[in-house]
Amino acid sequence: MPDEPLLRVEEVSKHFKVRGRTLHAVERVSFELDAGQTLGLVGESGSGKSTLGRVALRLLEADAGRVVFQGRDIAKLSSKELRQERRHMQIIFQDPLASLNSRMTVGAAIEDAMIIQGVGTRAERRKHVDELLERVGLPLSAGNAFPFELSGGQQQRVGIARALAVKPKLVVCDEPISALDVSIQVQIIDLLKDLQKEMNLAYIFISHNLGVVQYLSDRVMVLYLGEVVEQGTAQDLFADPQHPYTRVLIDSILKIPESSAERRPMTGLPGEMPSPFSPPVGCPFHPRCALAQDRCSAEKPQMRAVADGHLAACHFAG
Amino acid sequence: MAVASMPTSSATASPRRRSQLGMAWRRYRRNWLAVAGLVWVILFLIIGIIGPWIAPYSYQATDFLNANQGPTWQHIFGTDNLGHDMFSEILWSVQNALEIAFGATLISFVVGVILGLWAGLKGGAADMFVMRLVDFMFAFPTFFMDLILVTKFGRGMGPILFAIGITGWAGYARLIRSLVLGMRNGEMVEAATALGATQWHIMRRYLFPNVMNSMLVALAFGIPGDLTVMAGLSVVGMGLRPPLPSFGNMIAAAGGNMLGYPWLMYFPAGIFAITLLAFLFVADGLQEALNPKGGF
Amino acid sequence: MADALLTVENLHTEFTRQEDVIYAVNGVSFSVAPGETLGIVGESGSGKSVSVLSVLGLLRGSGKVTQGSAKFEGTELLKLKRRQLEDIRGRDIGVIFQDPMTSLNPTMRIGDQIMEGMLTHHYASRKAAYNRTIDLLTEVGIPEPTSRFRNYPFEFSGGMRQRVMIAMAIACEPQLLIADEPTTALDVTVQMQVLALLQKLRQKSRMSVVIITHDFGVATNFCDRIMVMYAGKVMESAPLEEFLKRPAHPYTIGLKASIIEVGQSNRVLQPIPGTTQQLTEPPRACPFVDRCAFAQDACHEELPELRSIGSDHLVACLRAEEVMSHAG
Repeated sequence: MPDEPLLRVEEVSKHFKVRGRTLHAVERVSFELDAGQTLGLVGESGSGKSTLGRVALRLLEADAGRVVFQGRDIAKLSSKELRQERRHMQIIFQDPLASLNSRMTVGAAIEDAMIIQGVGTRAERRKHVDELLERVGLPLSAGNAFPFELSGGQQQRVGIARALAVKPKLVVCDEPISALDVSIQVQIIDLLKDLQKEMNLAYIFISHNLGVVQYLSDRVMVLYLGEVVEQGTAQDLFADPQHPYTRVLIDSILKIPESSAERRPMTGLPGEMPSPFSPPVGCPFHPRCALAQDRCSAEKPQMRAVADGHLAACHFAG
Repeated sequence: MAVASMPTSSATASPRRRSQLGMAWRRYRRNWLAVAGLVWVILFLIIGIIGPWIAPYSYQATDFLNANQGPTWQHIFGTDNLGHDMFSEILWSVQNALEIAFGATLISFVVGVILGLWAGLKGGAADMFVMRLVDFMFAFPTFFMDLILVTKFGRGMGPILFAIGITGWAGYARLIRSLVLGMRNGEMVEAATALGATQWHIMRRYLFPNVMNSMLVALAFGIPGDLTVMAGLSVVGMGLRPPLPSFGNMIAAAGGNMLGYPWLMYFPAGIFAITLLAFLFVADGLQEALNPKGGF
Repeated sequence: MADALLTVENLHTEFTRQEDVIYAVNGVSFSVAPGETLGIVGESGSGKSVSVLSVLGLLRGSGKVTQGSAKFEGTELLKLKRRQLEDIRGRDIGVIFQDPMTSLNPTMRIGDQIMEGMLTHHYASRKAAYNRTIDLLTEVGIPEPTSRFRNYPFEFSGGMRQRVMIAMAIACEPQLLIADEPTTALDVTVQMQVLALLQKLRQKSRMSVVIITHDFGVATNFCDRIMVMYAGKVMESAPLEEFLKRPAHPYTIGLKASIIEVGQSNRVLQPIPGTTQQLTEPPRACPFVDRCAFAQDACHEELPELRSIGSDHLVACLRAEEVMSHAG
């Protein structure tokens, strides 16, 4: 199928049961992602963006909907088939140290990815480890180090090298730069962008840093309380946000002003994010929305196109 | 545009690195109590092995003419009321103590590790079952159970070793289960799962190496515990059947003659107490040294 | 500045880590005037938090001030006994930390925690302290203060807990408020709410505020003066306008260029190469030299002093003038 995207997520929902109550982490989310493309997921904590990333990789089972990867519904794969398929879909974490085994050297950790997937002979694997270390900008000596001996930025490079060791097609990047210093963030972003070009990787890039998401993404989805409120190309969505929540998010960024006269007045969105255990009826954002009217608390706005390839779930968008 | 090459420095690994074991030993060495404890434990182990050969008398040899004698050149720790040479008795006791302590701890440990790993990894009904069993073991006075088992199966080496071993596993099981449970939902296991690792691979390469240190420490704390239980059995008259010597028997017997023949208490009780402390110091030192996140 | 509220001079702080000594703060000087807001900006390991914690006597572990002075209203803080320092902290100096959950007592009602400070510092009677607590909760934007008074910290969201921390910090009307990464753990919309609250309180009471942050956006939008730290040293310090218009240290310029803002998707990234290091010996050359595009031989040989290059604009770079003309 020439038109089949690399990843197609259809109406996926994920709920968690917590002490008898149901947490609506992801509600009926759909998207497509082509090879070599980046989809940015933005939203605040509790928006479900990390959960969505894990459902897309079947690290969490979806409660409803389908995830089709390379034309196959991954929920229907046997556990053996799924393990083999994992070679093509990888993940990078926010805290690389927590995701690495502190008892394994960096070289062993990267090699283990290949061992798990049964790739190459021992000599070939070792050679590939060295190539990967070099490619992600680590000295070869780092292969003999333990993860906790490296700096945060170097640890994240190890996380990237391990994910790339099995030559994936899709990588979910779950807040990969949030724990890093600004000067290191740029290095990692630069690296991710170069690797994407080189290996034709598709990324799902999860971050609360809107500038970085726009920089790396082709398309962006904004989530609020597990629901997509707006999606569009990285250019359109940030230049012409349609959903009031997207506008609030963009407006909350504190840019460095040109002069002290241009400082951003500190005025915040009122209220708190509602509990995901009992999301508001109607539009999830209506209790905090400046534009809200009676209709918003009664009727859930449907996703609709406001421009070519730009969708928003707001009664007043467009 | 490629990232500029990293300046290698002290933060980066040195080309020829010291092993993790070497680093642990360096941390261990700083704790002088732990080092002293280790020396004593090693001495204890050596005596446990060669004690019977270097003992001047058999543990059964009695010398009625010299009973209840204070320390002399002939009997450096004195003799008891049957004329047993206390020095030889102690050397033999060390062997018995080691066999029981190590044997019993090993049984507890193996049972605990298997049940703990099973409960932690499988979760659900398996976890439920193991944890109720653990609750039962903790709620039930295990010393009482030891007494019942020893009464039933006799006061020999085997039954005592078995009794102490089979009642002591609950702590290990609970520890390992909680460690595994803590890691099972963590990002390390998630990352390995995302790579397509089987449960067996995850257990072998990711979980086991990370619980091993804690298990080693628990083991080191467990041995003095079992030594105490063993001595406790002797005090209530259910320890190793005489004439098999044991610290507990000697201390229990000496208790009655404390005022007349105090050396019968001093030597066994002193050595036993120092041994317990030594094991605890070693365990303590291990705990400090094996913590991978403690600086190096 | 003679009339400064807090004056820190040549502060040095070290940590002992087994065989190593970590030089965390290496000669930091700054002052805070009454009513001023100072933003101390730096990356992890820059010593920005440690230098302030040193002054407050809140160093943990093996941390030790080895040299320097810190005068608050003329009182030398570094020579005070613990009790005396505790008396000033909480009454004259309020402190807010990044993670309110670790600084709040989980087993105590939040109202009692706010009251406690006022009672130990004999700021108010029990009755007056209770009334002020209710007022404070209202002021920091916690609805239904009389019932929320009886809640425990876990019953609050992250943003609400930070508001409680702020209420505690300002309860005794301190002259100086120190906020160590107060919004780092918060979402952007909540960050805005917390900063708006801090600004309102500051304008009302004219207290001085020191914000320690890694975020230039927070510092430049909130503060009157910015101080940039690296490797335990002050790299640059300037009033906001000067800082925005004429940055003079290569590190400042590099850091500002590292921030990717919305609307910059086509720009070329110029990462600062390398990574920060923990100093295991006192710096003898410019600590930034290995990562600096402007570095010359001289930069490897001497430690640049913090010097004035304009009105109240201090910079620790041998080539600051060239850097400034190059950047401008």
